[in-house]
Amino acid sequence: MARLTRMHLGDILVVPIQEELHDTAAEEAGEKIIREANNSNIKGVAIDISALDIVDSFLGRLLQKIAWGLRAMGKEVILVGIQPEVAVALVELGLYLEDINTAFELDSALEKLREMIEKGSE
Amino acid sequence: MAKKNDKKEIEKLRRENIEYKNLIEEMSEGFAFLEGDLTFSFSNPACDGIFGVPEGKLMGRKLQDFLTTEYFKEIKKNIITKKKKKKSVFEIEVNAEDGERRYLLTRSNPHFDEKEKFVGSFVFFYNITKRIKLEEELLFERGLLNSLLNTIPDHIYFKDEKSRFIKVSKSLAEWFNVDSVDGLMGKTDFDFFTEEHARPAYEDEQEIMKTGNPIEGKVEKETHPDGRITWVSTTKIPRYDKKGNIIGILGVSRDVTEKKLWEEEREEKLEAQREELMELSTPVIDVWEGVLTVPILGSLDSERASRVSEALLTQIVEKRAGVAIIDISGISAVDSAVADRFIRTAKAVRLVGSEAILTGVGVEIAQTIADLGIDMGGLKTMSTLKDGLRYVISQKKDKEEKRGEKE
Repeated sequence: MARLTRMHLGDILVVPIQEELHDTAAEEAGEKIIREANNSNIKGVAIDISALDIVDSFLGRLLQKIAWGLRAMGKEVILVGIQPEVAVALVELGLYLEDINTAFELDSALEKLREMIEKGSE
Repeated sequence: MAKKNDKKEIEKLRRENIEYKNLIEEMSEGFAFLEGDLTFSFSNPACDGIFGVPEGKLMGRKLQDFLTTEYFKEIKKNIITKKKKKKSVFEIEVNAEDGERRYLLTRSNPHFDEKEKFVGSFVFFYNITKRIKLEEELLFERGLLNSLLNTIPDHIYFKDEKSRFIKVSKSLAEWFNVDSVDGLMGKTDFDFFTEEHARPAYEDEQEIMKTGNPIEGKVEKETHPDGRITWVSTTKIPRYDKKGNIIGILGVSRDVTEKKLWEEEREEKLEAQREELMELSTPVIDVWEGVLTVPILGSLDSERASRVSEALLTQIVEKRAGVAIIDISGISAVDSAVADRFIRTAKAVRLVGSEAILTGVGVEIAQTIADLGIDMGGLKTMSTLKDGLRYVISQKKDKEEKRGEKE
């Protein structure tokens, strides 16, 4: 399995997904993200999928599950860099991910995440 | 003197062989004795019947009474040979006295007296009217078929069970640049086309012969070995033998190349126009920093709707636009499929990290949406583009103010 890159920027965990993940590899990656977010003083997670041109229903649902899992632990989540084709495909699959925030790129994602964290702690 | 001798001769014959006479009387073929000037001096009942006269009344009549002059001359020359032991066989046409026209096969045998003098001929008449009529009919029909095959511009071809040509129209030979139709006999499509056309055509024909189901008006692309491409509209039907077994196919192909090319050209032009129109009618406008607007005019089918969302999403991501306003005030009607498409587009816009606002929802469209029970799914809508812009600008101001407060 390809190594899953994870970066800590203060209380934010950044996970860039570089390649298409399938089945067990994807599940493992999801687990890792949740565990890592739980084990530290992480307040928000940004999952960057800008490198992906295709997202199948499995991966789409997994992203949703990860987001819900993190939310359940009180963490904020943001999806970064969903490509137009990917967005269309997700909508076609009925995966609107309506309760998950999105951003074009990491910069604005981090900004948004900070806002969300501030709001949450107010 | 001669006549006296002939009669004696016949009398002798009769007397000598009564049984032979009976046999002749009962024969179904006509049998007669013709004197040198072609006078019947004897005929059996079958012969009388053939010439359409009452029994026994042929005696004393002349063969030429029943013939056309033209025939008569030929018969004089050819049929009644006077050479010894030389038989002659000939076909003649007679106008029988019962009104029928009959075709006869004659076989004559010259007869000579003791002094080797020619006295006449024994002649058999076989009625072959049926056969000749059939032949004439066949010839007539063959003539019709040949004139059809020689003149019709459509390609007509008869093929055997192995898809080999057995008869073709002249036009097909010309199509293949072959001098004569004989040059096609026994050959197949594989000899004149490349595999690309020959293979499917062969498979079609084998399928027709297997199932008996014809092919009607199939438009086929013909690929010639010299690279030429032609189009034909083809009909192929199975050919049966007398017992009902399929023994090949009959095909007719009409050249529709010009029509096809014209159609293609028209299709291309139409497609180009459609694309041009599409681009013209779905401009994505950069109205404000980070704000895109797509005014949609005219009618919206689902193809155009998906083009709009495609163009919009790409531009949003390229320009990092935080807000996209889709203005549909120029649209006359929205059906459920299109409304659904808009909602999906708005959701995709949100997924890439932007926000979609639908403006220009008029009374009619609003009613349609309500009637159809479409859930706008949290999609932000405003009645006019102005309202949309005002909302966006105020949002921006709020953000800036907040930022200002922080600093």
